[in-house]
Amino acid sequence: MFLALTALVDEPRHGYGIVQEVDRLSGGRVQLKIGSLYGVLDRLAGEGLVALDREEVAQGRLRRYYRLTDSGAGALEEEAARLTANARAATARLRERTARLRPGPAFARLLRETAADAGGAG
Amino acid sequence: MNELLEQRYRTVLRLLPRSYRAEREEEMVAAFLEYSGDVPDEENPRPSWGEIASVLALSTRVRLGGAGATPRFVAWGAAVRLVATLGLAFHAAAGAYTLASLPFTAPSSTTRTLGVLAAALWATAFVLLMRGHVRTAKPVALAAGAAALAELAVWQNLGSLFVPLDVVQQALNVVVPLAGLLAGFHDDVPPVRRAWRPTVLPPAAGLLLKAVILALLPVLGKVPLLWPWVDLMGLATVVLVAAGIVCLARRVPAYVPLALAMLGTLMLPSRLSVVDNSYLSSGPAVLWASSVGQCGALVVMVVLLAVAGFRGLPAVRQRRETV
Repeated sequence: MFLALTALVDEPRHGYGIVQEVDRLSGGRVQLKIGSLYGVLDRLAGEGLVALDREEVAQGRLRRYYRLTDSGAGALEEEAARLTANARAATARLRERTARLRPGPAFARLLRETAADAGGAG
Repeated sequence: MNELLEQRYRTVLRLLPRSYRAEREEEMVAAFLEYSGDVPDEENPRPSWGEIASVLALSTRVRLGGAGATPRFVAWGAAVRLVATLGLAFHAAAGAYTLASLPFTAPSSTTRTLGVLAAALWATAFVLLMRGHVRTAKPVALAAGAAALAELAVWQNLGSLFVPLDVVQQALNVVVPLAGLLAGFHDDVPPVRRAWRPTVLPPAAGLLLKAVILALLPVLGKVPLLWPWVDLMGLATVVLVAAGIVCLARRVPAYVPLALAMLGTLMLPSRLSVVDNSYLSSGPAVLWASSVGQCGALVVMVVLLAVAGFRGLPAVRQRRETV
């Protein structure tokens, strides 16, 4: 749902256009099947997050373009903020862990002196 | 180019309800063909199993009241969820009964272990479902179903009396509510947290039944007429017929009689197997007549509920909301 909404941020897209954009946004990790895409579109439309933008006929085939609604943009913004907060918390904790495991200045000096003594002895 | 693939994809799309296809088929075909690129017919192209599975999943969700469903399918979805909930309620009552019977049964047999495991898991799954933890309830119910079916298989392997109707009914009693739980409670259905009183009612009823049977034990041996009425399915039959009468007397949404009709159909093999059972056919005529009466009441009620349910369903051709 998150990627499908993101795919509609810059412009309205038709079914296959959304599949392509989701594929691109996810670096190929998410490849929507057509049945799944329309399940997602039904749900998003039911919640008022996307709406029909226009219909076109290309090479004799029907294309329906969907656009992000204001409420969809709001929902996406909230979800993006939540994910950003999660990522920020994870990054901060990883940084703390790295700092904890890195040797302190006194210990580093001792290591350098030991290495120099060993070099002199050799 | 792509004619064969298009034709085959349209065949797959026939899995979807007609009302849904009327609105989506052309656009889905266009999206699928763009996605597939140019494939000559000589290569004998077919939609992948993944595509077919995605259409099947969409079809199940739409037919069970998912986003984009017509009011008729919304009613069917509610009926399936009620079947799942009441099916689990029955297993929770039976589970409490089994656990309360533990001190009175032979210790440490395989069937006892499996039965106790299934009983505890059914009760847990029911409580989780009622309290709105649907995602957790599903694997717990699956484990309960697996234990119950394993117990049934062990019973058959032990060479116990094989009554086909009994086995079919017990297997259906496990499979149907499970299927209803897995398919009916899909992502488009927001979980509902129900009050504690209806949540604890079925297990409490199971415990009460055990206490009543213990109290009546001296009488039961002398009055075989009571036998078909004090087993769990016999009591469930009485409850269903009573609920059916209330349902037919009042104006209730169509999904309620439909769900009760489905549950009644599920119970019927159990009652038929009682009629078929040798201890009854060789017992007093009044006992056999009592069991036949139970069956008859159930059949009549199922038919009446089904008719009321189908009549109350919204019209087939109501349009779904356009995106």
